[in-house]
Amino acid sequence: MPAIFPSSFDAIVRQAVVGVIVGAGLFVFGWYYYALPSYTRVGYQPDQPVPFSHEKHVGELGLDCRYCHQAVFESPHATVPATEVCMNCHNKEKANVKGNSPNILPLYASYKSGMPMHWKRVHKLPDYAYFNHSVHVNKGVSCVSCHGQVNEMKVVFHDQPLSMGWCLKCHTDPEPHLRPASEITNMNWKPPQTAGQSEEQARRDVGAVVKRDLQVNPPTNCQACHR
Amino acid sequence: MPADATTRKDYWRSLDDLADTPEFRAFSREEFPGFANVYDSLGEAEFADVKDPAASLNRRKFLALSTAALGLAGLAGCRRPELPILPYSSVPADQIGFVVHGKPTFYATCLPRPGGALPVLVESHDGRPTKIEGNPQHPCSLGSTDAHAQAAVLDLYSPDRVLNEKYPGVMERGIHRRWEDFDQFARKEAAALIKSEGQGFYILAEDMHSPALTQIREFIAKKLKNASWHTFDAIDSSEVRKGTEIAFDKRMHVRNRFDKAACIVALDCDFLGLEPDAVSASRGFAQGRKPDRPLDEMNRLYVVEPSFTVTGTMADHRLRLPASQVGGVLSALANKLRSQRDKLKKPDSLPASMPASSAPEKWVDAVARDLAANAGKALIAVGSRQPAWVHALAHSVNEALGAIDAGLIELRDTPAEPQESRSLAALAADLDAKKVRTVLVIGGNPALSAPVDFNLKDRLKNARFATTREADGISQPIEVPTNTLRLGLFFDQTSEVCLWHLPLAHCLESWGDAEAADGTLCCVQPLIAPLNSSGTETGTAPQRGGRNVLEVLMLLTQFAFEGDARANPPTTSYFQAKTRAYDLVRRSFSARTGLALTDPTFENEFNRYKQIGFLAPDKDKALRTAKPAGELKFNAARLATELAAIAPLAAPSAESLEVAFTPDYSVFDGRSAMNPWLQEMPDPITKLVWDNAALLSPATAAALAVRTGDIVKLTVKGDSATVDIAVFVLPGHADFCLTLPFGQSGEMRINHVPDGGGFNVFPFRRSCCLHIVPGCRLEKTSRTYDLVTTQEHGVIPEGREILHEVSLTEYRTHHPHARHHHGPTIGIAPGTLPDEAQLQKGFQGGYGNPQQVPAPAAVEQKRFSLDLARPELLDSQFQWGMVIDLNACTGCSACMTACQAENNIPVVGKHEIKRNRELHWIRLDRYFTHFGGASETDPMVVTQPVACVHCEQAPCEQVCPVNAAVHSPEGLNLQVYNRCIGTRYCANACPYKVRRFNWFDFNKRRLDELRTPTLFTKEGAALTESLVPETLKMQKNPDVTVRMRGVMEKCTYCVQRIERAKHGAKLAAVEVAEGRRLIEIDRSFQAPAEHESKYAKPRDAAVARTVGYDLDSRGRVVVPDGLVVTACEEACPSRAITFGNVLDATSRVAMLKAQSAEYLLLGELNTKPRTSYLPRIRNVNPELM
Repeated sequence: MPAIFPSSFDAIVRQAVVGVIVGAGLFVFGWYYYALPSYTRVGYQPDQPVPFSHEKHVGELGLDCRYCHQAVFESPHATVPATEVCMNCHNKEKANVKGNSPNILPLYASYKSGMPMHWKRVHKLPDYAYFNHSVHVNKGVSCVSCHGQVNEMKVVFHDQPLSMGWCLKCHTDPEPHLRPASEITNMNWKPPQTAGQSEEQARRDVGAVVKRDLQVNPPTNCQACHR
Repeated sequence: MPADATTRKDYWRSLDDLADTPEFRAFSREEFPGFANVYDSLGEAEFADVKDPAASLNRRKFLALSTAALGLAGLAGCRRPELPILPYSSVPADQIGFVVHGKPTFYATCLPRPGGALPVLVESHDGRPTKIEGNPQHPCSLGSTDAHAQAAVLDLYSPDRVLNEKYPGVMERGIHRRWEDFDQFARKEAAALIKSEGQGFYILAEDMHSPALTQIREFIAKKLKNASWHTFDAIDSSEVRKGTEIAFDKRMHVRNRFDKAACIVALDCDFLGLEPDAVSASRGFAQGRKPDRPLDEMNRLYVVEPSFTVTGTMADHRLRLPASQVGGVLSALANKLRSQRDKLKKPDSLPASMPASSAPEKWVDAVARDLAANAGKALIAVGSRQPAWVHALAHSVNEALGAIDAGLIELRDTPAEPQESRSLAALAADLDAKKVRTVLVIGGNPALSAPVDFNLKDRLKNARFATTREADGISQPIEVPTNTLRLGLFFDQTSEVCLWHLPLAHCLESWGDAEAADGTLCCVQPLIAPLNSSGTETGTAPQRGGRNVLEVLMLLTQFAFEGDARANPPTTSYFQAKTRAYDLVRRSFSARTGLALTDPTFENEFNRYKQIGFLAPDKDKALRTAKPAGELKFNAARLATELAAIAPLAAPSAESLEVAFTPDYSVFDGRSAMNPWLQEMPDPITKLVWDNAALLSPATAAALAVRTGDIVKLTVKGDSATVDIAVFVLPGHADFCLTLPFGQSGEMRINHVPDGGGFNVFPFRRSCCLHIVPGCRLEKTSRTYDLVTTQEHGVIPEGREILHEVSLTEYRTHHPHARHHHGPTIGIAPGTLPDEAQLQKGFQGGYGNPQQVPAPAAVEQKRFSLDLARPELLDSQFQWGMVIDLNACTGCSACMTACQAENNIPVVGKHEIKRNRELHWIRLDRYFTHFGGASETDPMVVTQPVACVHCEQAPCEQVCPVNAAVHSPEGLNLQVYNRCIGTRYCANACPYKVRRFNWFDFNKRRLDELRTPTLFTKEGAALTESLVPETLKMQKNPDVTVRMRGVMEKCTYCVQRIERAKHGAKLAAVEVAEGRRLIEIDRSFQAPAEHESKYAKPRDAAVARTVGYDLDSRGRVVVPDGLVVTACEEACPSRAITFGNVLDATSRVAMLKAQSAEYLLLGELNTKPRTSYLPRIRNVNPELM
């Protein structure tokens, strides 16, 4: 019986098999690296209509988060402030802080016209996931845990992946991320450390007390976030 | 049909089920009927009869198209969409402290409707009204609603009202106009009308009692005194008022208090369904049927009616009689009662002679004895379609029984009118006489629904006005077209024949007021500006935003308040009208309370009125309450003369049929015909969707040789009126009469909905016989119609006991069914707490199965287990459960619509429902039963609501290959949409058949283009965004995921409400612990124990409910009972549904579950459902058994 394939075909088959394995491996690695939220989301930093610097306002001037994100302790959303909140300081007719800066003009226009500012959304969960800010901040989770060191950000960017696995890391082991109620919005809070104690351990110790005091038992069942 | 009593089924869903036909067996056997030819179609189950062009795509082409589209979509999907956040520029002052982004706000308002407004609370998310609940403080609602109230929010967002490309808002002679054009017209018209003092000005409106509107009518009566006001409603209740006129010499509103009655006789009276004030009647009636009351306190209901109504299904004894013969039963009853004078309170009010009757002797005998024995607690209720003499006679019997003195019947004066309302007939005559210069048609749809002999459609279309023209000093008679103005919610049949169509604002968009059925004043306040009313800047966009009745009338009459003309100029601009509409509401409030507008307390009181939604009766100076019984003078003489003149109608026969009209359960009098939720809601009795049909009994059908679905022609002796309509054979219907539900228009006018619309029966309705038509003939035509009914959907296989129906005596003595299942259903007796050992174990094992001990290690590794052998441990402090009391469930379907509104359930259309693909999470199974020996032709009916029962050992969870069906530690059977890949194994495994599959992208496509290939539009372009109109998206509940195609869904026990309540409890506990709540900590709370959490325990249940949290025996934060309310529970007018934490022994649900009569549906499968049922109890009269 004549050979259907030439002998060189063996090599092609071998190469193909190796190629498929390597290709599949690359694909899996590529998917794992590029398609997960830790790559697609972290670092997302859209340009905002006004170059509002959290570094300046929070880091240097020491504004509390709640000065602008007012409903965070009572609502699922942290809420973005109305233009009038900016106008408390930047209004030309009142305090006039940097009132003539060109950066303030869009705010001024919004305030005068009554039309909203078009801020760009940075953090966005999928529609089937329901996150509630108020429960987290009331139960000892700081803003820093999810949003990073916002006080050091000139332009806000997506700091943490906010993926389900990332959420569950804290939901299964909340102690290192808990702090006293008075320190929730303190961006630079450090746990009190005894001599020779690591910071990690100090965080855990504080967190354990908060966990007991506030009955922090984070749910890990689907019902908590998916409805 | 099996006639043998031993072999026949105890309960059945349809005649096919009873006869056990092969078709029925085939349909009920398969979860997804017609799925066999999946590969020939687009991957969906199709019946062979479908000739959809899209379905002819073969699989190969379909795959090719889909792949190409997927490739394109993949490229576009790489970029992250930029989403804006739009905060306020400055927060409106009245919202600060009340409106928080992300949290719903509730506003009190009311829904005006004939017979009395329904007071409601409306949930608003960030300015979008999304859900309507009853106003818990008002006695006419007590927190409950009905299906029509639930669906009202969809009317607000209906694209046909505000976005329809076919009709562009304000219209004149078919050309789209702007409101400014109308303003101009109104100014000219008003000037002319004022000059002639309203000569030729006609208004045709629904009968709506609004004190604000009355002020405008007063102005009209004064300044435009020749104007003429006409009222017309398709649902005519004038016979009720005529009845009071005969009996008491005065036209009055009648309101029955079923909560006080022990023995009720409903004569053709659907007081639980279609009669006005059904919500509070249902509550009152159900209150009298709680089985835990003493034996003699459970009420007994006798019903006499031609067709099954929801009231008829609740009857303890039901007599089916043609509507014309119902009066005869009453006269027979009165006759019998006269012979028991000694037991009656006021026997002299019974007339001496009564019309003859042929009512069954034995039945009348027994009922009369029961009535007499219950004198003072007995009540006879008569339906509004019965003639006036029946009402008057009922008043005399009620008076004799002492019902009026005992307050079982409340009679109220009809509101005084500034100017007498004239009839539709008078308007028709004036239209013919060409006297009508301008006619404004407000609400309703008279061109469709007016009696056919008025021919209002043509009369309005061809209306002309005879006037004179001054030319060269000579006046010349001429005729000009009448200005027909139409103010309506939708562009309907009346709009088509009028010159102007003016969009009416929805009641959630307008200011106003109305009276509830008990006479209290309720306010109508807007939650949102009229939709699509902006866009005027462009100057070209059609204006669809509505205006309300007050505004339009003020503009047309140049309304001015009394007093200084300079301070109160006539209304000539919309801006004025808008502010004055609000002023009218303030003034009517001022008039009712006696507070002057300038009174310093006025603003406070008025704000309070807006806040609670109605005027508290103690502040109402002009409260139109029930007349004290002493003030009513019963006029026996007048009744006697009326009765002497009655010639009773002969009983119908096959040659001379009788037709009775009734409003439709789904679309009511037609006002909901544009509402897809209600159109798709199965009729409580026939379970028909999207259609109506003529109902007749099996015997009549056999005699006339017609079958369900045959189109017949109805004619009446001596008149040309005729109608073609499909018939539906309904067991339990009276013989030789037909019931025609009106409201459907015979065409589907909702845009993008391909089928449905039913039959227009108005052409058969004449002014001589609005309700009952004797002497009709039926002719079978060769045509048939595809009626779709869900009565055979979700059949639970035979041989299982699913329905418990017992007599009250049986219930009291035996509880035979309660023991039939698994003994004690929950191991906790009411009033005691579960012991510590049980709590340590968690709730694994559930009801009555204490020997099952969980694996010791399970506590620690409970959560991520995918191990089927070790299911989720039920260790939470919350164990949710539900009890449905079949003894209270009337089948009214309010829960179904409430669920649809709450849980973003799309409509699927008639075509899909035929294929068993409805998406309603709650199914209301209507069973015919043979209770008490009831025959097949005259059965009893029980309705059983079935939604996901949340099995503790759920078959669906065990078959899901991707773990999308999982259990939560709180006992919820969860469906995780983002995991679901649509294998549908779970639906096949579910013995309750409650899982629903999204066969199409109902949230992305409109109903007429479901069957287009994935990612393509109907025209073949790439589908990039949702084709569903924006306004419909505004209705969606933001707390519930909008599901996509290919996802399984089912009842979640309203998990979003559970989570909201849990979050609320947690926040409340923190706030109290940190002193952020203004509460007297010392007095209301116990100090927290050492080494436990910081949370303080509320001292008692009342404090717990007020602050919103409680601590359980282990110090864990729990939600107090009653703060988690599912949508169905909240809507249910008879409180048949109870939801709560079964672990809390003091909760209502735990107490109900402790009742021994409680049973589990399919409990023998050991699925351990969390929803359990209480049996239907029939309080039978032993004499009639």
